Amino acid sequence: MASVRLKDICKVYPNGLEAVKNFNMEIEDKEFIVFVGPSGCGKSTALRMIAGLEAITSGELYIGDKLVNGVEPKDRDIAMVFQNYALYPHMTIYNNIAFGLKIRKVPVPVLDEQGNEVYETDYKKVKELERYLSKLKKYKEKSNEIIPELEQAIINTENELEYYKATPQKKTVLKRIPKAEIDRKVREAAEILGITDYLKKKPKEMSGGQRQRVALGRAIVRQPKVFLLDEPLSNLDAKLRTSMRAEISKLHNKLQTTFIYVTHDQVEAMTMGTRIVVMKLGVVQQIDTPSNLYNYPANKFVAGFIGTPQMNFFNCKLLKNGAEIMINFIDADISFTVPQKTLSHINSDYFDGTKSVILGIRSEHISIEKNKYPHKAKCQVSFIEDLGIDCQLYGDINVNGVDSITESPTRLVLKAPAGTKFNTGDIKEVYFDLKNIHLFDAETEHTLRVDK
Amino acid sequence: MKLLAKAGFSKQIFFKKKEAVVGKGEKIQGFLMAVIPFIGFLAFTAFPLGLTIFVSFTDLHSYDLTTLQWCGFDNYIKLFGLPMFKDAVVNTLYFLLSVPINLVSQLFIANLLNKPLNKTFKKVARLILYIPTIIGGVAVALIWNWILEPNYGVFNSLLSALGLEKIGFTTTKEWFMPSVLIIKWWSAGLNVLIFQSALANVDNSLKEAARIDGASERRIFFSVVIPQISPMILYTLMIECIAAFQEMSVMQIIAGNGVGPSNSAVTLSYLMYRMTNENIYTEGFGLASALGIVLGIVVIIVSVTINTISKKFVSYD
Repeated sequence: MASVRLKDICKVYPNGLEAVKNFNMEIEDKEFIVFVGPSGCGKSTALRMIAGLEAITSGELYIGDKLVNGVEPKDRDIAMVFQNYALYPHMTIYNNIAFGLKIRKVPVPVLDEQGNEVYETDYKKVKELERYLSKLKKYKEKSNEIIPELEQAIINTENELEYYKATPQKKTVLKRIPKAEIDRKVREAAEILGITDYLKKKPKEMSGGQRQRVALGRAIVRQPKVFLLDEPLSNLDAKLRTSMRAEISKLHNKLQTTFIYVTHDQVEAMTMGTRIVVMKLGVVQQIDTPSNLYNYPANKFVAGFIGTPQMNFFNCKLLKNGAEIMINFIDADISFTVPQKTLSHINSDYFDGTKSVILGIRSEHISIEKNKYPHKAKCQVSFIEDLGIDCQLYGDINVNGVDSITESPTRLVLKAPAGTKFNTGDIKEVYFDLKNIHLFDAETEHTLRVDK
Repeated sequence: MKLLAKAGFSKQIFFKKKEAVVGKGEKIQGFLMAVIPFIGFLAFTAFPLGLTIFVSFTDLHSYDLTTLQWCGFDNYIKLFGLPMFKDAVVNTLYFLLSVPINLVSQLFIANLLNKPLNKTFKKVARLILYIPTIIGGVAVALIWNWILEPNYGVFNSLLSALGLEKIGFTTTKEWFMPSVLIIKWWSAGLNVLIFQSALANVDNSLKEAARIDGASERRIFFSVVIPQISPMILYTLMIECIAAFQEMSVMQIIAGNGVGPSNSAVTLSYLMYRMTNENIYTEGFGLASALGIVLGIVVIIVSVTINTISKKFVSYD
């Protein structure tokens, strides 16, 4: 159990590709963090850097209070679950889970002839600390500015070094974990995951969901400080994914360990994470709780990425007219007027009628129900997807245009009651809930919100 | 249709059957395709095998089969009593050492070449290893014969330049087989390529998972990588073992006089060859056939043994 801190973590591949740019984050103990983003956004690279499978180009990574740049994965006290499970195909499930324990050596106290524990200065530890200290100091020399975390780490290490030099420690030797203990741990993990009956089988004989449980079991038995999960559910079918999602959440509650979970699926992110990191092209877009991401997206990308169907975006201009704000759609013949109060949280610099803004509104905030919301617009129906519980109506607010198959800047998606039937080309009235709009700068795509 | 259904035929089965019917032309085509290799097998495998078994029980000293005389198990009894037979067995077994030596070192090299090293270095190394396979075993042996030549060879020139005594690599019993093993080592670069491709196919995430599990590089190699490529190892082991039982060309090239220093170039294959050439009048085809049968049986036993033992270690998962 430990916190994880990322300080300006960067990853540049030898071919010049910047996979991760200046990743800064503090992950607290016992959090369930989800890295989410489209493929190629650097989320897996970030996770692999935390795991130690990928070298960190620049920046510092701390697990607990320890700087772990360049530390071997096995010494980081982490466990990882891979997308393709990465079970050893030639080993039984039991051996797959036990492998990490079998090869591990743990310190066992040395006893003298009388059976008493032996104490002496732990020269190995002293040496290790000295090496670690010199590494920290090297980092300090390299960075131009003063990094408080690094300073703290240096002080802590110096104190620790003093302590170990002065105080004799219980003398220990490294020994393999006894078979009985391994057996107990493996069975315990198998019990938690409900795979006790399969321990003698080979991975090939198991289904995807069972294999993923084994992969989780392999991680559990090592009792790591941090659990890393790299798209663990992507290879499963939709139904199984939903149930495994719940199981992983439960597992997190049970183990009370820090989880870092990578996915491209925003539903997984929203349902599992205590906090979510949204990434795009190696840059962190927003780090926040699921509800904050949904209600207060920091930019257009986050707004579009979180929530299904995707948020509707329209190009607009805002003009202040006394105590009211006019919202003029650029690509369609629509104009709304709202009291300034409604947009009081928006940067008022944009109310001059010249700056282009992007208006974002979720499909659930547009309705075809008559007069549900005060602001009315016309919409040309394109097609309807009936989902049983409700419908998704695709239309175009540019009623004079030709229905296009591709995305257009005037495309509109809204939720309609189940069983709604329209013909393609019908012109219907839709009602906008302008209390729930999101406004972004057309160029930077940042939110125009000035408070939260 | 109704009748058929009553008779227990479902519609589907009826149509399926109809679909599966092949045309007459196709049948003939299929028959011809099968018959050609079958005739080949009869003519060039089954018949010679039968003939060899038959001849091994006769006394035959020429290609004229009318001259053969039935002699029962005499050839087999005579074979085990031959003075050179023991040498041949010892030398063949000695040469079999090349199999583990080569496979282990080739696997090691393949693993090394699969590491992220300098690309040019890798290419050059691969070329050096693979050239002997391209130019063939005989040419390689001839080149090495010159390198190991007792008087003017490269090694001995070097040794005498350093003021050391020359070594009769190809002329002394002690050095003969080691020289052969060295030559053989150089002419088997193909296995390096086979291992390289097998190693490259091992799922990288398995190694990463083992790294996170705390395994050392060596541990990962032996506990994860080797089991993954074990089918390839078995395949090369089989091929190399069978080939090693039949080897004679390298020894013959560097021995020069056939039997080599103190019979050290005499292998079972060479013994067989000798029986039908130099010693055709004293030994002849009957004895050679008997030796061939014995060698064949030994190879089959070894192959089956390897295959049986390997079932425990080889993983096809």
